Amino acid sequence: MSKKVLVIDDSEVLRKIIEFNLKRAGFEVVQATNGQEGLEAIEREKPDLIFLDIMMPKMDGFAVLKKLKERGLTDIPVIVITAKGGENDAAQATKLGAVAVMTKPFSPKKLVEIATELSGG
Amino acid sequence: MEIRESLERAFKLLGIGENTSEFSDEELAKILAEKVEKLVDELESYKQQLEASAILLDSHVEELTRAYEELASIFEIFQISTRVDVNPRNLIVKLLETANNSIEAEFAGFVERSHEFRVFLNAHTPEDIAASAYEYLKGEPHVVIRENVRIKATFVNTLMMVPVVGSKGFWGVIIFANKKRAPIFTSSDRKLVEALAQRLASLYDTQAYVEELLAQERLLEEMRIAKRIQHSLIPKEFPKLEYARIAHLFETARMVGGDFFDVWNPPKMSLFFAVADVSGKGVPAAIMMSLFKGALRTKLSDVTKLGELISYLNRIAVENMPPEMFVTLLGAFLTPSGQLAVGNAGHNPLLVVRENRVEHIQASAPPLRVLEDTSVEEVKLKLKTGDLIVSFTDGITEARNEKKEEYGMDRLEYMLKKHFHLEEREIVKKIKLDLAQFVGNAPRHDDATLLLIRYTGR
Repeated sequence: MSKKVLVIDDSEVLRKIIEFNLKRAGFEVVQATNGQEGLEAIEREKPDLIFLDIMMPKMDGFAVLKKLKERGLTDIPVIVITAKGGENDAAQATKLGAVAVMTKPFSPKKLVEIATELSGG
Repeated sequence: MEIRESLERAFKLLGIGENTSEFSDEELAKILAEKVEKLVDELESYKQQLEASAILLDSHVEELTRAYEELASIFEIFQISTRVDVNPRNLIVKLLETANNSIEAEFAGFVERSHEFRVFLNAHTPEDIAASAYEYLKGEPHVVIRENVRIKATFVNTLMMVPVVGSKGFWGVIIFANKKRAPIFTSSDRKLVEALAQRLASLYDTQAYVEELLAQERLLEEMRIAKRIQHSLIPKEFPKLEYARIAHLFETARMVGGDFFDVWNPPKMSLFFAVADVSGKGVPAAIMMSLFKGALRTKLSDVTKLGELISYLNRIAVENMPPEMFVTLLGAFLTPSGQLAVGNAGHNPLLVVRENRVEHIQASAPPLRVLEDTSVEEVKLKLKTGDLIVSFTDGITEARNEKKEEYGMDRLEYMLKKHFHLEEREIVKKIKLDLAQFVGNAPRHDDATLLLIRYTGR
């Protein structure tokens, strides 16, 4: 069975790129456009892996990580996507439980490599 | 009846018309069949269009992925190339790997124009490809993109060569190539490699700049060392004598010009002084000075004749100095009774300043090291109480102002006569000030030394 990946990002283009590359590599991809939707999707879809953007309107990536901790949903690996120069973001995200950090612009090839490695696929 | 109703409903549903009463069952069925057939055709065509646009969308995203991959590569190239490492050679593999991530190429490499360094990511890169880079480097830097070329015995499907040119030179060439069939190199591939080449060029430029700075720094350090040696050779204090008072001026040029002097009163002997100028500058001159000072002091304890001393120093010079160097030296003994003995080997004259009159004691031998064997004639004269004797180097009389005029002997003599009655250190101060005013902002290229002794009698 193919692994399910949830992409939480407000940028449609970025979601498309991630979706396209993950699907081509055999993943099932579900999407959410902000933190709130993302949390609902996690409960509903029970993904194997999450790509989470930090900078999002309404509820940002940090808030999502905190909620996941509160709800005890810490066994799903979360890969955080940060903007260039956000070294502090990366450190904070790691503290909040993110297993990996990708800096925009990231290499789509590496994205697939990371997803494959972390989903145990 | 049921069939009729169904037919009529379908007739209206498909929007063929409202009035069904004028058609028979068969006619209705036939019209409907024709309509359905047409709709199926339309549907089929819609379906095809839909599939085509889905493919189009996928290929757009694929294009987008490639662009994004390229963007990521460029960012990484910038990130790698701004690391602190000054040596570009240490970063080349990482940079090439990053570019190769976006560009499909079996062989990616960089060849330095110096021929001292080259790297190919693929260990099995044919030597012919490397050879083509060396050939390319003989010419003018330009971008090469070619397909289906034969390089010596190697058939190459696609080839791209981009020069690494910075503000400080043409450093090398980046080469991407495929032997197997591969897509042609696109303009965005070229742009990416050009960005890489630019970063690499600026790394090489920076390295060259840092090396220049280091060389300058080494030169400065050498100058500092030379200056330290030079200053260590100059007497820190003069002997206190009842029959003579001594003052001096010693200003060294940035590069260390080779001046040195000594004043010594060995036990049970006359006062001895010497002023010398070693040709050459920097550390070599400083080393020669220290050699001379050592020889001078050693020999001084067992000679009383200046001629003997100077012959000995000449031998030391011949044995130790490179042939292009030489030393001018003025040495003299002064006894408490005012007997002055002077030996001058190619040096500026010794000035004997008396009330309104200046005598010159000229050189009577060439500078040391010029001849294999040299003998100097000793000049003797008797000083009167109050007489001044002044020895100096050409850093004083040949000091130039911004108009390139020389300070000159006349001005020095004028100053000595004018301030003759002042205390010795005051005379030196006046000369120092006058010299500084004369030179102004013009750079000093040589050391300036002046030794002034007043015979004060018994």
